[in-house]
Amino acid sequence: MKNLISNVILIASLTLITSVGFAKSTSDELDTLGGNDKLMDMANSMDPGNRSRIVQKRIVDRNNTFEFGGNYGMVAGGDSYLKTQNLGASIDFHINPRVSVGVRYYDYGNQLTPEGQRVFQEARNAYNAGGQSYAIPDIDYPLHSTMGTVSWYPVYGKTNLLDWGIAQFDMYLIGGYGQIALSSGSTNLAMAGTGVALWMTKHLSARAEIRYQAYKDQIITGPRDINTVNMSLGLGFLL
Amino acid sequence: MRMTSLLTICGLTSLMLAGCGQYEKNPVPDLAKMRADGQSEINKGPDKPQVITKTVYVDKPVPVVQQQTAVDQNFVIIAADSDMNFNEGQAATFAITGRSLIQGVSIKLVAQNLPAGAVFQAAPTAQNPDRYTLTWTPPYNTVASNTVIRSYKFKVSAQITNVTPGIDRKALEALSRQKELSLLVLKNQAAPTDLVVTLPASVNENALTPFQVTVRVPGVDDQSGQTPKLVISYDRLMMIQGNTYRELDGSRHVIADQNHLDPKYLGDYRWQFSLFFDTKNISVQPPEDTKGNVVATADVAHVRLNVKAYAPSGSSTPEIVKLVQIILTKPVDAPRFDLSGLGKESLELTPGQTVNLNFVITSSASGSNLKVELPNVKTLPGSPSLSCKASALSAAKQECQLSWKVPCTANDNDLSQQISMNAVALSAGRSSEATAYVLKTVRSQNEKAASCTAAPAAGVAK
Repeated sequence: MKNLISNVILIASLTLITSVGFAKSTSDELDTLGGNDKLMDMANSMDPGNRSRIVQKRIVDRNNTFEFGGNYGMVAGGDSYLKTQNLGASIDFHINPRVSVGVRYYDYGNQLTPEGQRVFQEARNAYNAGGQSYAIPDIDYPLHSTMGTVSWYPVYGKTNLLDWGIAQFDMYLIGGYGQIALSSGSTNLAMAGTGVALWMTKHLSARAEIRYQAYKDQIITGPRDINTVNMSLGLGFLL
Repeated sequence: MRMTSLLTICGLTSLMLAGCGQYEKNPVPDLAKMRADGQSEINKGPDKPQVITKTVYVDKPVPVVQQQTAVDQNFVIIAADSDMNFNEGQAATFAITGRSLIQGVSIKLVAQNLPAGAVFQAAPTAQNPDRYTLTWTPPYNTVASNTVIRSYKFKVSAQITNVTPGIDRKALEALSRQKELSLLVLKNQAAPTDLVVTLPASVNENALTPFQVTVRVPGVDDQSGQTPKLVISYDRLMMIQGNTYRELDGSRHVIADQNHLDPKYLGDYRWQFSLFFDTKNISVQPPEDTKGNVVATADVAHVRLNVKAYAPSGSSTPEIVKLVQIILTKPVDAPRFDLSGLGKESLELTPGQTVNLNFVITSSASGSNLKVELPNVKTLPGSPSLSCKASALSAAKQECQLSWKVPCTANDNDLSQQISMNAVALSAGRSSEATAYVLKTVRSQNEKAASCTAAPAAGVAK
């Protein structure tokens, strides 16, 4: 558990450092999100007594653009005996700044929760003692999954991150469908979620997602519905 | 731009590091076994009886091969049933087992000196593949008539049929085992059956009525040394409920047929006895009512007799009771001649012999006097004497005697006589109906007495 927490903190720190550092250092070299001089002049010449609203277009061009990414996530819900994390890879094709389609692959790592360890150990002990009709635990752990996705970015904006810099972000909705390989075999997987994509530069992005995933697993007593919540953080590269 | 690349590499590295540590696919290494165990428990169901296994360590028997240094005749076991007892006329089977104790040596048993008809053969079973049987139905009369058991001795020997290579067959054959066994035959003890008495239910007085008694005695035929026996008796059950009379002794009227004194064998173990029911020479007892009083007006006398046949072994048939009505031919109070000692229809005379025939004349009327009219028999050859005198007990009874010394010279005609006698009972000044009796005499089938042949021989010698 400590390992996992430390990993998450590390990734989050790297993401923030990357975005802030990039904003400060590229104000002269790159077309940064806060360095539009014309716009700044126009805003400064305005009468401070009047209220004016300026919505700038997205600075990062995502028309017909590929984005490759990697992410790390944790799974909540689902089998109470399992604690699952995953590493993922993604390819998104941004048709325009509002819509993208992609393919995602996740590889899962599994551990028993403390309750799972207790139940399995008790089951072993009961069987070895010749006991009958004991509680029979079972799990159907995930191995990997692949799905196709569609993302819709309806909201975008800029944000100031601790005065380190200005970053553009898109809030998006994502849906997908594919296959998940379980220890018992493959089954269908449906996914829906939401996330925030921070566009650090024109070629670098950071994403935080929360996804709902549903599938059927197969344990000794038969199939059952598994509903999980996946939270992930990741980096992406825009070509 | 370099900063960007550096940060990107750092990010990817972080992602990869995040996957390290406790990142594994299967969190339960023995999950497959646990599933199998669980599935078996599910199949058993929660309510099925528990199977508790407990490991018990026992000493495993260790076969010990003992090298036999010398082989003697005991390498073969011949064991028979302990009691081989047969019964005449009944089939029986007994087992005899013969087995070689040497592995690789096969034997067979052969019997010798068996009784005729006995069969000795192999009869293996799943439990005893070395089993033989001795089956025999001893015929009747196997056991002598003067004993009840007979013993037979026979021999059973083991013959070697097969040996595996390496075993000295000749040495074993020299040791071949022979055992003498014995069996017993018990005398037939079956009881006689099918007793039939042909005596009619009604006979006339003053008649000799022949009848037969047949009986089947299993195992006793004309080859047997003994014949069945017939017993005719009176059970004294004179008072039968519902009767107005007494049933008197009928067995006293039964005499043997002198021409067939021995029972005749009819085959199939059936025997026939020839008898007479004599109401001529044996006087009929006067009928009595239930109180024992003579019924003077009766015209029928009721008698009963019991018939029972015995096998030579002593077993017998159930007793048969025969009820006979004797139709009286003269009044009850009329005198009656009783020549029970005659035993035949006629008095048989043999030249040279002296015959003394005692008989009585009785009247059922108490207090009466009997008057007997006897013929003059002095004119007969040998000048026999015939006389009667009143009994010391009652005047109603006359005791008579015919004494006749038959001369050696008497021929058949001389001896074929009819001695007529008459008797009348006088009671209270009234005389009864006269009773006539004719005693017939004939020459017997026997040769002359020895006294007739001795005299001429002595004369010749002189």
